[in-house]
This record gives sequence, structure tokens and C-alpha cells, in this order.
Amino acid sequence: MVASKSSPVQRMDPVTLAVIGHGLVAAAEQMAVSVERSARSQVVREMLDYSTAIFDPRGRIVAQSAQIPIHLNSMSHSLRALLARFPLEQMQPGDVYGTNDPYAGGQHLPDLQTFAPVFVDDVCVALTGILMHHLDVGGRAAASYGADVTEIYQEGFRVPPLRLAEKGVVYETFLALFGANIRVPEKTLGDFSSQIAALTLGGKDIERVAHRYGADTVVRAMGLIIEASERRMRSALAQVPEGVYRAEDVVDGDGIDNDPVTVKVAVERVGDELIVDFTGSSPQTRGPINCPIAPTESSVYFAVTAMLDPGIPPDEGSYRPVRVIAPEGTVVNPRHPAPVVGRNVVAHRVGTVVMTALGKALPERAIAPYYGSSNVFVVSAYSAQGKANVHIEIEVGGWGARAWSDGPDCLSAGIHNLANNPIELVENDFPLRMLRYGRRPDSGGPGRYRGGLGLERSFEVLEDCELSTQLDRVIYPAPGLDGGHAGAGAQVWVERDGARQELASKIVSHRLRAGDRVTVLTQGGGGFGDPRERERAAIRRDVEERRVSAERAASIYGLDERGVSDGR
Amino acid sequence: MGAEWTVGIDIGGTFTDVVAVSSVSEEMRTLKVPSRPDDPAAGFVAGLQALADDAGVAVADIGLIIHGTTLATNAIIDQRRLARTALITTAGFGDVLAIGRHWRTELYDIGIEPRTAQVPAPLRFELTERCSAQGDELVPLDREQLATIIERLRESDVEAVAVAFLHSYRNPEHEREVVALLRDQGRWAACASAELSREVREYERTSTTVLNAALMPLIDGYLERLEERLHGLNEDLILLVTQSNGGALTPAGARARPASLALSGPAGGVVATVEISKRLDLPNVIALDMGGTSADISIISGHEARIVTQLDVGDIPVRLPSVEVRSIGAGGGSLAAVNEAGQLSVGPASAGADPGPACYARGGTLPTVTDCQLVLGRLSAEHPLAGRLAPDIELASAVIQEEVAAKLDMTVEEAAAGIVEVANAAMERAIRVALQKRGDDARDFALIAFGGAGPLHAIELASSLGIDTVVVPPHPGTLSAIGLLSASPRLDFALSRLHRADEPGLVAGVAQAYGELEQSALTGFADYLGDQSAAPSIRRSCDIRYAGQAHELTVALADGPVDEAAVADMLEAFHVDHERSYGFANRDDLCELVTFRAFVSADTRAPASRYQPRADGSGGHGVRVVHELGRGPQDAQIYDRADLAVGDRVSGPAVIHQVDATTFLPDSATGRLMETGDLVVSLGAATR
Repeated sequence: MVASKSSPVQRMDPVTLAVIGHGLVAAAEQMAVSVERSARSQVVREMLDYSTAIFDPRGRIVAQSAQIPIHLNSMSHSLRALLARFPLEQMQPGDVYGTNDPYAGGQHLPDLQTFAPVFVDDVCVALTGILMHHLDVGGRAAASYGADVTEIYQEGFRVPPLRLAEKGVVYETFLALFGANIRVPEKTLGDFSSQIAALTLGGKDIERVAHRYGADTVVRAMGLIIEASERRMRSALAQVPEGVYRAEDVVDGDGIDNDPVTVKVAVERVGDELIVDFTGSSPQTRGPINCPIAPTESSVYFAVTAMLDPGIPPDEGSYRPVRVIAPEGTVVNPRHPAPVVGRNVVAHRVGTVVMTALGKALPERAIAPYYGSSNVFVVSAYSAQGKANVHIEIEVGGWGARAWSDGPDCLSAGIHNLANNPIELVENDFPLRMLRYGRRPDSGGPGRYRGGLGLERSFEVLEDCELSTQLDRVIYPAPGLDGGHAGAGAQVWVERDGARQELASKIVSHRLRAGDRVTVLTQGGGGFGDPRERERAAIRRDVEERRVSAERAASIYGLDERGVSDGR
Repeated sequence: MGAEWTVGIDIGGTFTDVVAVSSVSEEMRTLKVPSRPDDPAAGFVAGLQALADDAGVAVADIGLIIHGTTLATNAIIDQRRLARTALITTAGFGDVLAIGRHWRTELYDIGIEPRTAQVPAPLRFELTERCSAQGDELVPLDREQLATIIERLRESDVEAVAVAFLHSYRNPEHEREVVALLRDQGRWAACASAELSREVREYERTSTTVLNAALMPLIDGYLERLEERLHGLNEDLILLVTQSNGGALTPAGARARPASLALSGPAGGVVATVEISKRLDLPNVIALDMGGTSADISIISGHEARIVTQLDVGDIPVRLPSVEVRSIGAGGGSLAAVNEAGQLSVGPASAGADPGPACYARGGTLPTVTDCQLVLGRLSAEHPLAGRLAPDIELASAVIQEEVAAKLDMTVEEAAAGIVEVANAAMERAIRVALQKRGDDARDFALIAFGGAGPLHAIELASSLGIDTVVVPPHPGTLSAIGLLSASPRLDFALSRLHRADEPGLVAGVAQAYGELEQSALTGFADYLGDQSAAPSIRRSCDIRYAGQAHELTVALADGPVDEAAVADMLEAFHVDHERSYGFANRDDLCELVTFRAFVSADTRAPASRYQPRADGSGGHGVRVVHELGRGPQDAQIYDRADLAVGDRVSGPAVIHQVDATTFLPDSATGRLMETGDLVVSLGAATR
């Protein structure tokens, strides 16, 4: 099979271009609808941890229905690794290709990416792609979150760039091998089959658009859509005053050595390009917080788009004017076989340092760092038959304050986006009982504009089980900006027989006994500006709304008990 | 005779549509009066007055009025009209309402300001009590604490109180006790979550309950005033109100469950399209209601409207059954724009009613879809819609030239055609995604177009979707009000009780759940649907999923006893539906039954209307140049719909004007006026 040759840049009438653009997004959206409603595991079904996309025959992302920013564009990395191994010319209708290899453009092993070529009259016009976070892909710990692993081999079942299906049928060998190496095969294989079904569906939609407008026109439109986004990004970059803007932030540790890990960036606008240089960031760690190049770049693209113009369609064109320098062997571009399952710890930091640096260039758009961690909790129990029952929850926290307003409370921020699990469903499915779920007062970083609140959850386990976590910002909370204070750091503890044991941020397979009570407090966002300059009415509202205690309103904001200011 | 007429009254933001049908002559009369947002009951009565004065239908001759209202919808959007509401929750979970599901809808916008909780923290009270997921009482209700809370409620001057406890869908006893005590106080409206929705998922149930409580004083006051006035005019008159599920309810029922009115208005349009699908024998239909600011899309399959178990109003979930309506920002007032990269877009920004499209000369300076339709010759200054000024084509051309044509190096006509095509592409995308939710194929559907702008776009849109039949009903602009006449009395009940398909007592458990539901349904029917003369019928369904899934599919349970065979058939229906919707089914996998549902309904008492043509066929009104997408200028026949006789055929290119809408038929389309009064348009060379 051959790839459609994209002709040299030609004008296309803007109407056809806009209509094809709608058609491509519709295909990605229909794939997302199909995945969301049919997925089996909680990670996909309630936490929306998947994304769908359409690529042109050169492997460039052109349309996506993204639920989670860190998935964006990174899919192109994996697709290119696949195309290097399986050139387009060799692909056949009904083929499906996939990989989860972080050292072949992937994220971490639970994120299995699959792609399928779309043919019209024997010509490949596009590829459909889906990235899905699978509940468990084996390895050291339940949900594949082994906080103490030191090599990728311990992290689970690794799928190098492979062909997974021919003529629409997935290889039995692959399914058997995959199923035998993972903890909850029925759920994971169920998700996998919904992933494959949705790929095919998206393909049919692209075929329809190609039949209507001509395969060549569709391929050409993809190129033009990408070029238009590139022009928009270049003109948005012109807002950034020329110069170098620096920022750095610290990660608590890698879960093994627990030395602080620095992510450091210098952002420079040169002409209509942006150079984002991570030279000076910490060397890669023994523990699994290393962030492969694909998620590092995705986090940069997210931060740049959010800070400059959220309206630019996130396709290959918008990424092209942004150049990322990430020295090999550092936490932002580790060398094989460094472990990476907790890569989000560093990826969140990559996003916030770039936003902080750009906030120095564009002070009116500045935003303080947010909770900064995908606070992963995994509780796993084994039934008498030895079958694993895994409950996973990713907690969020407070947004950083903006230069113009307070940060929102308890809301997904930055490079990830997910929903919580309904308590009533969790208690139906799993032997635990929630005791409290609410906002955490006084956790928002004080400032003229206050950081958003983190949250607080306590639960009791009703059977013996194991707890693994992957948190951060326990030691180094979200800093404030421009005189604003840091938000509160995270805390986790277990109570047994009245005694309280504080846990580290990253633990693996910690044994819990029936009756143990676990409490987690998540991070508040950083504040912006001097808290003494906060409007008195806003402080009173904070006290009334139980966001800030009366004591803190007095001691930090200087609000006296009669509600009369002693500050300005 | 005193009850000759049945009347539908649909109160929208700007206009109130009134429709009356006679049981004697089967004649239908329609009219439009301005709404009275300051006093909707007065607007309602003004509509009746106009019906008497202008249409010769006296209030004394009306037996039944079915009413659709956007009062609840608008109050939800404009939160200031909601009552000051308090919430009592299980201790430890007072913030569930504030946190919601914690995902964001805008990925890149760092300026988002999420909606604040519907109940502020000082009015969220936590009460010590707890039940398990199995419904066992773990912590008894702390009555002393409750007394303290009631004391504080008195001091806080609240108008409504919502009660939502964890797992109350399983065991509602604690909620019942608290809400009874609250009602005894007689100081506020009160409502418990399990009274509204015995469905699992605490945030959605709590949000629904809070919204319901917050609407109670408003809807209660409105319906009380309305009933009072109506009974002053005709004391035998029966009033029913339509709900989001497309069914009708007595005022007493609506006052207890006002959240079920959230989609009261648009539901009428969906009910009307179901009727059209039946009378024309078109089982699968896409309803397209395109007005000034948005296009509302609904899917009807097998002559039934799709009912979803949750409606999201803005970002507030309302966990009550609702007709499925997908709204997108593509209406006559949607704005066209060209960005700095030379890309053309249409909507979602809209010129709205003020300033409106540039052609209405009320200060609009940006091109809208309506301006384009005028420039393309499909709308005409000589045929303004009822209640509108004659549009000015010069103003329309000027803004299209300046904002789009000049920037893209096109003629004004090319730009206008392009804008219409892009607006159609946005609708096509929304329709395709809506169909995908159930794995449907557009080619198996007909399109019913209504709203002021629907019939202008529908036929070209249908052609893009591969649809070969488009229906334009007799009164496209008042279809929602007409639909009210077909709304049958209906009440929905749900009960979440998780059962695994492999558990030993499954059939007994299922039978018990339906037994309880049927009891509630019959009691509800007696309480809220009132009329004992029509026999209630009950239909049952169940939300089922594969173990581990989050979303369920709702499948029907056949009428008759709940036995092993019935349950097995229902599970098989789930596998089939799953395969159809998502492309796969796993028959070996464990199924979970999550929520049992039943609704009780009775036949509508509204008489059927018969189309009564006024014309004996008088052909066209001349020829005008009209631009067709992809074909450019064409000589089109111009018709007045009132002059068409049953059986008349209209071949495109043609424009058919009528007082409440304009229909455009491109070249390949042929329309035929049916005995029902519907214009049925066939696309392609072959006409049916």
C-alpha cells in the first residue's frame, strides 16, 4: 500500500477546509464517545484517562478529542517509532499497531497506544490513534505503580512497537501473553477490545469524508490545517517580549533516595520561535519519577498553549515553533532502562516551571503553581480465590492563584484532567468505607489572590489489603508568586488502634489491616501577591465559606476579629 | 359543549405560542403573543385572551390545557431566581456538592471560574447518620443534632431545604424521618433525595435534590397563581404541565418535582416529532430545531424519543429522565469570523436577539447565518417572518463583504454560501456524534426540520448526511406548542440496587425491585396524575452494564411476570444493545444490574387534529435567483405555503415562504404536500 502523496502547498478554498476540519474532529469525537461509554475499568470509565486522535499519513497529529493534555502530541512520538519499524507502504487495511514503550515515544507502561491506518482506494489517507491508560499491566505492584522500582523491567508488561492485529483480528498470541502478565485481565482486555473497536469506527468516518471530498483533498486539508495552527502559534509567540525567562521547582524525591530533584528551565523567545531549555535539571533518578521525552514535550506544549492562546487547535502545527532542549540522562529525558511509571511527578513540574517562566514574560497572565501531582492511591485486595480487586483513585488539589483572581478549589489542573469515583459506587465495589471527603480549609496559599484549596479524604479498610501511593509536594509545597505564600503540602497517615503513622509520599504495597483508617490531605495552590493586600471583603467571605479559619485570617491576612482591617 | 378544545401553551423567553385543537371539527388554530417574564401567569392568561379574541376559542369551551414552560430552565441558568436553599448531608460529606466530579471542561483555559456550589458553605449542614452500600444502618440518626440544625435553619432565613444522605437510594429511612420533621416546621419547602431519584451516585443525586428544593418556591408560587386564575375563568378546566421526559404531570406533581420541568419547553418539540414520525410511518427520525442562537438535535428511533437518565443544565447535573436534546451554537444569529490564519468559522458566538443579524438594522455589525441566507436569496425582504421587520439585504452584504469576503478574497455570494456550508458542517458533526452514542447510521434516518431556521438548512444538511427524506411540518415555528397536545401523562421512577447476574437470588431480587417500583408508580399515578378514568399502564426497564463499567445501557423488560425467562431476555437485550452501540459484546462476562426503572402513563386525552388545507393549489409566485451550495445562482420557483394544496409537488430549486419559517429546496429535491399537511421532501433523482 502506498501513502497518498501530499502535493506541494496549494491553496484550498477555506470553506472546504473548514468543513473537512469539522469532519476530522467529528471522527476523533466519535471515537471518544465509543471508548468512554464502553470501557470496563474505572481508570478509563470514570477518570477519563484516554485520548483519541487523527493523524495525517506522515504521522502528524491533526485532530484530537483530548481528555488529558499530557496525552497530546506525545502520540506522534509513538506513531513515528511505529512508522520507522513498519513503513506505511507495508501497512494493510485492518492492521492495528501499538506500543506502550516509554523508550519508543511512549508515556509509561500502563498507557497503551494503538494506531490503525485508514485506506481509501488502496491509498493511506490517515491514521487513527487511541491512547488508553490501562488499569494494570503487571509488574511490581497493583496498577503497575511500583514506587520503589529501579528498572523499567520491574514496571510491567512492555510492548515494543508491534503489529497487534491483521484484517481486524487481534493476534491470539498477543492477547494470551498480555493476559497472562497482568493482574485483572478481564477488565484490561475488555478495555483493550473497546480501544480496538473505536479505532475502526474512527477509520470508517475518515473514509466517508475522503469519499465525499476526495482522498487527496483530505490529505491536503490536513497539511493546511497544521500550517494554519503553526501560523497562529507563531503570531501568538510574538506577544512574548524577547529575552530569557527562568524558573525552577523541586520534587520531593524519587521514593528511594528522597533527595530533592530539580526541574529547571530557561525559556527564550527568538524570532517567532520559543526555545525551552531544561539544561541544569537533575540527573535521572533511581526511582520511577523519570519523565520520558514524550510527556516532557507534551507538558511544555500544554503550558505554552495555555499561557499564550488556549484557542489555538492543539495539532502538530501549534507545536512546531516550540523547540524543547532536554539533555539526555536527566529527569526530563531519561536513558533506558530508567523506571518511569511515576513520570507525572516530574511532568507536572515541567508544566508549572514553563508557566512560571512565561508568567515573568507576560505578568498580566501569570499563574502560581498548582497542587502539582497526580496523587495516585491504589488499594488492592485479593479474594479467597486469589483474584485481585484493585481500587485506584487520583486525587486533585487547589489551583494556583492568578494575577487577577483566586485559584479554584479541588479541581483538575495542568497536564491532567480526571473525574473522581462516586463514593457510593466505590463502597458497592470494594471493601472500604469513606469517612470524610471534603475541602481542606487553610490549604490555599495566602496572597492578594488566594490559592485554591486542596481536599481531604479519610477511609477505613474493611478487609486486610495493600496500599500504594505516588504523591508529591509533601516536603516542597506549591510556591506562591509575587509575594504570595506557598499552599499547604500534602500529608498521608494511617491510624491503627488510635496510633497515627505518617507515610512517605511514595510507598508501595504497605500492608493495611481491617479497621485501619487512611487519611490524605492534598496540596493547596500557591498564592499571588501580598496577603495583607487582599480585599477585606474577600477575606471575610473566605472565613464565611470555611476556606480560611478565623485564626489564619487574623494572623496571616491581618483581619481582626471585629472584621476591621489593621492592614490596608 | 364545555370541553370542545384542548390547548397547548408554550411559554418561551420572548414569545408564547398557543395552539388549540377542537374535538368536534378536528381543526387546529395557532397564535403567538409576547411573553411576560415579569409575570408569566399573566402572560399565560393573555394568551388565552388572545385565543378568545383572535381565534374564537372561549375559555369556557376549553377542557384541557397542556403547558410547557422555560421558567425552571431559566431559573437554573440565572441562579438569582432560585430560593435560598440549605442542604443537610451525612456527616463528613457536606462538601460533595462543592467538589462535584472535579474534572474541567476547558483543558487550556487558565482563566476559568468554576461555578460556585449551589449552596454556600454556611448553609451546608452535616448530620451524624450512616448507612452502608447494602442499606444497613451503621450509625443511627442523631436526633439531638438534628434539632440543633433545625434551630440554625430558622435563624438563617432559608426558603428551602434539601436532604441527601449517602446510600439513601438503598435505604431512605433516615432521609424520610428528617424531611418529615422539616415539613412539620411549615417554614420552608423541603425535599429528600430518594423522593426524587433512588439512584446511586451521590453528587448527581445531591445536585438534583438541591436544584429541586431551590425551584420549589418559584414553581409552587407560579402554578398556584396560575391555577387560581384559571379556575376563576373556568372551574372545570384541567391543567397539565410537561416535563423533561416529554410526559405531562398535574400541577401538584410539578410542584413536588419542579426539577423535572428543566426541559419542559424543548420536550414539546421532541414529542411533536414523535407524532410526525408515527403519522408518516418514519420510525427513525432526527429532529432538528434551529432557532436564533442554537440548533437542538434529538434522535427518535422506532417511533420513540431517546430518553437519557441525566440532563445537564449548564454544568449542573439533573438526574431525572429527560428526552435527549443536544444543543450546539449554530442558529440564524450565529456569527461568522475569519481568524488571523485565514480560517473561517461560524458560531458558537451569536448576535442573539439584540443586536441580532445585521440585516435587521438594530446595530448588528457582524455577519450572521441569517444575513447569508438573505444574500443567497433564500430569505426575502418581501416575506418577513411574523413579528419581524423586513430584512435589509444591503446591510447584510456590507458586513459579509467587510468581515469575510474581503479577508478571503471571495465574492459576497461565495462567502455567504461558505458560511452556510460551515454552519451545516457544525450541525452535521453534532448529529454524527449524537448518532454514535448508539451506533446508528444517518442513512437509516429521516430529518424533521423545524424552528424558524431549520427548514432553510435541513435539505442541504440532509444531503451531506446521506439522508434521503426531510419533513417540514405544517407549522415549523410553533411545533413545540403543538407537541404539548400529544404529551401523555407520565411519571418516572427509579431504584438503584446492585445485583450481579450470577447471584443465586437474582430473579427474586429483580422481581422484588419491580414490585416496589410498581407500587410507587401506582401511588404516584393516583397522587399526581389524578385522572382515574384513563387506565395507567406501566413500562419497565433496567440499567445494565458489564461488571466494572461506569455507564449503563437502559434496556426494556417485557411486560408480564418477572421470571427467569424475562430476566434472561433482558440480559440478552443488553448484549445486543451493547454490540449495536459500541461494536462489541462479551456474552461470557458478568453483567451487573444497577438501576431498575418504571414509568406509569395513561393515554393522552387530546383530540387528533386533521390538516385542513385552505388552498386548492395555485402554483408559484414567480421566480427569484437563489444561490445553491455547490451550484451557484439558480432560478428558483417561489411559493407561499398557504397556497399549496394536498398532493401538490414542488421541485427544487424552490423557496416556500410561510409566516413562521422558510423552506429552501435545492435542485435535486422534490417536495410533496401530504394529507397530514407535512411537506415531505425527497432528495436525489428518484422521488418516493
